[in-house]
Amino acid sequence: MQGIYSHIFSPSTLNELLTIKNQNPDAVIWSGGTGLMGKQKRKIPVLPGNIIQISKIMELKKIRRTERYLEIGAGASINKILNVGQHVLPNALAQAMKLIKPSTIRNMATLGGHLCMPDIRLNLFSVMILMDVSLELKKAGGSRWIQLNRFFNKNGEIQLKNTEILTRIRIPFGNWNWELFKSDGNPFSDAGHAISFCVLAEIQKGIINNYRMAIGNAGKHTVRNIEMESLLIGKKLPLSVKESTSVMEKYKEWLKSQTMELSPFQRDRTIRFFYWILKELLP
Amino acid sequence: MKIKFTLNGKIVEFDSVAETRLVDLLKTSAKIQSLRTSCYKGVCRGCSIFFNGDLVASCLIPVFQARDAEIVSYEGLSKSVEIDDIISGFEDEEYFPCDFCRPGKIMTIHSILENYSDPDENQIMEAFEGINCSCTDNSTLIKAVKTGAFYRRRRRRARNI
Amino acid sequence: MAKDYIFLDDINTRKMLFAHLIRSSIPRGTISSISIPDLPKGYFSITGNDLPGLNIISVFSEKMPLLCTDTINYEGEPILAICGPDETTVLNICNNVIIEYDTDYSFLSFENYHDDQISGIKKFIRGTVESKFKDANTIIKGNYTTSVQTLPITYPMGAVAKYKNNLLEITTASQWPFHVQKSVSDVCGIPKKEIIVNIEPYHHTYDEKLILPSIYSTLAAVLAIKSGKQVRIVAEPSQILKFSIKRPQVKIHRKSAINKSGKIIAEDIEICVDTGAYPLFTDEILSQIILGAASIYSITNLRIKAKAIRTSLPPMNVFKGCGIGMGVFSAETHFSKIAKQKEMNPVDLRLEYLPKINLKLPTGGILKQISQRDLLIRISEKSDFYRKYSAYDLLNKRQNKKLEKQELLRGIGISIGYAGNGFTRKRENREAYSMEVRLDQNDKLYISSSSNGTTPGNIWKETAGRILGLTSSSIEIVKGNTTILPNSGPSFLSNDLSIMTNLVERCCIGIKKHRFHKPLPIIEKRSFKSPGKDIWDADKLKGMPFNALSWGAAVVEIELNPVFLRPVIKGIWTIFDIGRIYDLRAARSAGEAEIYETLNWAAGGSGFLYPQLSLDDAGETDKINLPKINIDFITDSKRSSGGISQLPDIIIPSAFAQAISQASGMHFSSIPITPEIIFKNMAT
Repeated sequence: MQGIYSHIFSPSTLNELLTIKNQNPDAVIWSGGTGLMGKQKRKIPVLPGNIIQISKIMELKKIRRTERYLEIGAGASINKILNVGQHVLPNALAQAMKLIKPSTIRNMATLGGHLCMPDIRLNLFSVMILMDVSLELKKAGGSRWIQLNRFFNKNGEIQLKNTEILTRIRIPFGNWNWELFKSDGNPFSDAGHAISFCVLAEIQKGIINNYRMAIGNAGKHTVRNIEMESLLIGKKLPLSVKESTSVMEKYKEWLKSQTMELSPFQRDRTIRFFYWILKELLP
Repeated sequence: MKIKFTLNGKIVEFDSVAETRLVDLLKTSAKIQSLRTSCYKGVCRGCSIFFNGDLVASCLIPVFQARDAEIVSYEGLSKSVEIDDIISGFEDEEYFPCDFCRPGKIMTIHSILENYSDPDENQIMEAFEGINCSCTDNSTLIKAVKTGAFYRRRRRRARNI
Repeated sequence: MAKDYIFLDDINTRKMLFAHLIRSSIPRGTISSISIPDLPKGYFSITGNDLPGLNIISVFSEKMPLLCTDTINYEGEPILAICGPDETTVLNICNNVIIEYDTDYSFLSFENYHDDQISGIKKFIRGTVESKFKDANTIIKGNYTTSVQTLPITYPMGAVAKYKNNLLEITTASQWPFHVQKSVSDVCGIPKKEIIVNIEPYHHTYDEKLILPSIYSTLAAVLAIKSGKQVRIVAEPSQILKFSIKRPQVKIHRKSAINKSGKIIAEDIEICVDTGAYPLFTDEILSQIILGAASIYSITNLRIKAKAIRTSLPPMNVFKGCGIGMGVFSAETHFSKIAKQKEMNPVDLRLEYLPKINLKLPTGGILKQISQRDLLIRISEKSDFYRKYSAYDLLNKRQNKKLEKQELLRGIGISIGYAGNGFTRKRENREAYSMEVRLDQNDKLYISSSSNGTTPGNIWKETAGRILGLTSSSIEIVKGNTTILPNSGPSFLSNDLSIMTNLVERCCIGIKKHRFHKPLPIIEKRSFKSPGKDIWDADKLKGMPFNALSWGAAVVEIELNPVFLRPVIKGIWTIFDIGRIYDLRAARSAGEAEIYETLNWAAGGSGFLYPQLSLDDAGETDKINLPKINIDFITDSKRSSGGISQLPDIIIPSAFAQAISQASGMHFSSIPITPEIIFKNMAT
């Protein structure tokens, strides 16, 4: 199809899609389109030159569950994931998805599109990075799986080859029994202030066996520090005031160094949030 | 570019450039007057349509995405019996939104009632977040939606007997 | 003939042309060149040099250009319009027009303005201020700011024009249809009698429909005359949001002199208003902000100086009224600040300075039928203000506000104010507000007015029905145009309620007197002329400035979430005395809707309607707590109705700011208050 600025391809199968992408490596994949259209201010949007629309490809919308993981097609809409996966979706991920508003956007936005937004890591990213999510990247003649944390380089650029498509997202089931997602501000309109926090913890017999925490700042990276997380691992609950204070001081010290990633306001919010987490773990 | 889809039960075809927003095509070519273009960000709900069964913002859909889709606008919904539940709720609670936001609000309420048979305040207000027309208040809106839900449950129960 | 459209952007007839505006992309400079691509057949453009008449839109004695020809004064200033038969093509052409500018990169700022930016000054003096400050024991100062506010929603804005057989027909939704007619006449050089403005109804307005429709109508008219075809121009939502009217930023500096016995003996107030690049309604705005800032408290010596500052921003003027609320915000917040320094309860301090009977407005108008003390006492009882204020004060003093403690911080604030309705400033040529009512042979009643808001129409019907014993179905509000409808002035400041409803009443009483004595049809006309200087002297700010007043008091209670610094509204109590209430249900609904809107703005636009981030809902992220709003009305008032829509905007912001101030232990004197602003205050 021809537009004023764009040429549109509309494959109906995955194989067709891969072939077209192979022949048009610069073409932009159009899934729900909410991210791309949401940025357009004019009545007639100015869209990329070549677009491959994937909304008709049913293989990309499948949701599958095994004992060990949940597998979601990159073209499945957020609301579909919430509806179909409501009993199996990890709690923190479901919370984060429900905060994509309004519901009309959730009906169109896809998980694949959400992860592939250039230059901005949206809220689901900070949840999924903690869950060791892996992604299937396919191209004509082959596919590979990579961990989500390798999907972007240190400059925040997507590591997707020109001829590759994100097809499936695999979310392993963890042993988390304390999952939390909180956010404030809209990452699209409020970058520099918007912030999200995800905490996953596995607590067994009063001991923190595993603890992970990520901060989403609507920037190019999610902020996470494994060393900081390890400060709480192995600790017996409830934490003593001394333990809690020591952890907090180290965390504050680390946060001070995150001037590139977090604005002063976001750093302040992170400190307040972490105080709250520790308070929850106190007697 | 020729674009064909089903609109309110009828197959229609229009000539348009691929990038045109679906809301603009529906307003100008299909004369769907219930649609409003207030934000172009998918937030205000003025351009709400049912697109393959889901409530979406037609301002965020370029026409190329609408090929072979099944679209229902407020005009289509208003011919169905479903709208009677909502209108009865409005009348009982004296809820009178203005002409500007009324179609969008009715579409949103229909979507709520399809998802929740007995929606609570939280579910209603979450669905209405972003609709900034302050022609009416929230308390009456919540009552109107709950009353509409009651009528829908009653009608569906009667149908099932 | 029945209308086949609902709003302007639904109008789409065969052979109609579409037009779009191109605006400047720089705030200051001059246009050095305009390159328009080769236009296909049937497409054309106009600039300011192509206008047949004057290139101005004027409001009273102030004016602004319709299309900029040379010097750019704000980003977004209209420069030219492109017109043609296909809207998509027109938009594409607009995207390809190249305008080159010469800019010196200067910017007229509000913060550091020069004297030549001052476009208007207004002063108000009562008593002797200078000497009182010399005698003062303490001087309490405060700086109060209300920030720019943009439209929260964009309604269709534009016009359709057709020129045929020497008659120019304009269709637009305007609060001031006769201003549309005048503007079109000025710019097109056509006599007013050859211009018909079809008056389209509108439902809600932030007063953006006062002047903007005149701008779009004038452009559509010029294009229609040039092309000989019907032309539609409708603004894109992004353009409306960015360049449409906004609430201007206002800074108010207050100084209060307090003598040895703790009495406030004088106040010195300086006001600066950012009017943007082209000041309009300056006199009204300055007058109203002065009225608001002067407050209702009995402070004998008062000196106020208000300045309008021209800047490089788009024009900012009337927005939900003329700004009395911004003055009230400073007055009420400052009064509570004084109460805090004197360690008094804010209600007690207010009661000390409110007369027991017959409050006088600062300009001298006496109010006999309202007891402001009553409103305050009632609202403070209803909200349990005294107990909560003292309790929160004590709690916040005792709590160690260290971050680690993470206790929920609580605060409560109170405010009282009034809205003036039907501003009695003399209109040009002493034109009257007019109303015509006709009872025909079929016992059907027709009410004719160029005011076209939907809500007042329902009230007029109810009023007429009550007086003449008619049902709503036999009363019609005549839709029409400027030829058949009388000039009822701008629909503004609740004129439609306060002045026009009164005219409907008088017409209907006239009809009632003659009914059954005179043959039908019976036609009654009534009009209202602005009173003389003995009632209101707009230059000296003396007398009673408004036709009617609405009063309100509010209490806002909040809990400040220490994690995200977002205020959770625990309760809002309001009491309104708006004169006669025609429809209590409608008044309550309008009041509640306005309260929510005001609170949302005061909290930075993403306030309490977002998920509550309380410390207790670890599992539920998307819980929304709607604050409980209590609204009371004084229902037995016989005063003429004043309307409710402006009041929440006037009384809520200060109560909200005071509540956050108490909760956080800091003094907040600007609105809106966002979590980032709270953070910055804490950091300093």
